Amino acid sequence: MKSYIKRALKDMRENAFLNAIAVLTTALAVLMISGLTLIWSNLNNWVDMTKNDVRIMAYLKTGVTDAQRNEATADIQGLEGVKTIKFISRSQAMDKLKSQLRHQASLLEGLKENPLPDALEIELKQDREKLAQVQTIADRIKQMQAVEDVEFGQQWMERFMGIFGLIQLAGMIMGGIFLIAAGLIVGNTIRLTLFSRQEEIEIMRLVGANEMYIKTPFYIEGAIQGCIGSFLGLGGIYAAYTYVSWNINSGLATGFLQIRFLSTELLAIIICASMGVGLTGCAISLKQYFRK
Amino acid sequence: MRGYFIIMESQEKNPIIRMFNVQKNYGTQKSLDDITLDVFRNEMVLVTGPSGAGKTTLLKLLYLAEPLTKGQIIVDGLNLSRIERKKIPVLRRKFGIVFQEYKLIQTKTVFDNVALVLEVKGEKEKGIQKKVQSVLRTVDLEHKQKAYPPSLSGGEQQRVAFARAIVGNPKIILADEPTGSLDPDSADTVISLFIEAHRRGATVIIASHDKLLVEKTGGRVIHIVKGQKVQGCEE
Repeated sequence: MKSYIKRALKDMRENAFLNAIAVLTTALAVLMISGLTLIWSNLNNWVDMTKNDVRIMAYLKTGVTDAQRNEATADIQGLEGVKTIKFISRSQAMDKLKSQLRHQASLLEGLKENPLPDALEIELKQDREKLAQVQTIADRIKQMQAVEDVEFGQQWMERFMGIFGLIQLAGMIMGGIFLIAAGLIVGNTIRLTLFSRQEEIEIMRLVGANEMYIKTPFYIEGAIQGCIGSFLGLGGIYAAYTYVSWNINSGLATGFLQIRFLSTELLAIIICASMGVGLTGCAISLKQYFRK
Repeated sequence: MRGYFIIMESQEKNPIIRMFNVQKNYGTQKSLDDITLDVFRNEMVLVTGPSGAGKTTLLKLLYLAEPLTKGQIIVDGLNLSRIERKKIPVLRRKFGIVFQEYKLIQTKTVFDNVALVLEVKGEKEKGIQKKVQSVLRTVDLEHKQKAYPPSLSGGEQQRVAFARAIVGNPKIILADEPTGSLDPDSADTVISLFIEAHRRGATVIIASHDKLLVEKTGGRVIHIVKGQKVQGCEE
């Protein structure tokens, strides 16, 4: 095996340009695929979180008395599927907004009075995930006298899920195309190497080399190209992730959005898949070459 | 001791190569026609004839560089008409081949070219080092082991090819016009190497139209003309 690896590395050095192109294409494919996977996995996490977090915000009318508010709270508590109700005063809402805005909190300093209304945060039971049921509860709350307006995430969630599905499909198609392209380019690199060494391979065969002796270094080459390409691609996506998450942490979106990098399992899958693509491209070229 | 000699004698009479009514066509043209021939162990055979007679084709059929059209060839127990594809390397390792145009790998050193035969057999690095050094000493090229073929003269390249042919200690050595492009001194050196290999027990088959080679080696001559009329073969 040691001599096969040595031969593969020697071949890679001798055909450095071709190998660099194959590695770069693989890196680009991995960059594209892992980028989409990163977006997809974060959106997925976020959708799951939002799905489980079934809440309705009921904004109260200005000037609602404590008695009216307590009455509305009791009425809402009586509705089927309601878990808890929390009163959020307008001053609490302002404090929360200020803490979320962090550095930009000074924007709110110019306000003469707090424009935010008092609100009731209604948490629903987890089994109430169906949009229609959430909608029914929200409609009944909205009809209550003390309530000005009602807001809940599920309204736009349905639309978002449609778009999310499209992003997912587009990502899969593009990722697939890039993977195939990477496989073809690795395969072509091996094919060009094979043709440039046609005479040498012929001599090897004439002195009794079996196919394993000739083919193994090429397989190793394909796997190495896939492996280096995946590390480069993942390195690129990690750099992009670090940059974006640093910007999010220091910017406006703090608290609203938290992105996570790819899990170890996903990283392992991407590296293995990339090596697999290198090996497949190599296998196709070798099969075509040795069919002659 | 007597028993040992009896065994040796019977081995010598045992053919290592048998050809039965061998025919080779290229398209509609017959290159070899109805050749029946036995080559015995430790025999020196010279296949002679004019250019285009089919000498090279005959050698190529033996190591399956070309498939035969009709007939049968048996090499050291392997029937070439029925041999599986994966067994072809096994067949080729029985031979040490000196090709007409040397067939050295231009990007490998003299040492690596010779070592290739042992590498494909899976021999260990230490053993390879020792055997290659020894064989390069035999052909007087030890000092050129790090050189690349393009920097060598024709005679030197032919000696590298010969070293590669004998390093694996093959049962049969095949050579196609080994002295064809050499000056008289280099040709003499190469001829003496074949004689030495034969003396050490190898079966040697040389295809050549070099009369000097025929005279100096003193082997059995098989004369081919237009691939059809063969002299020196069994009737």
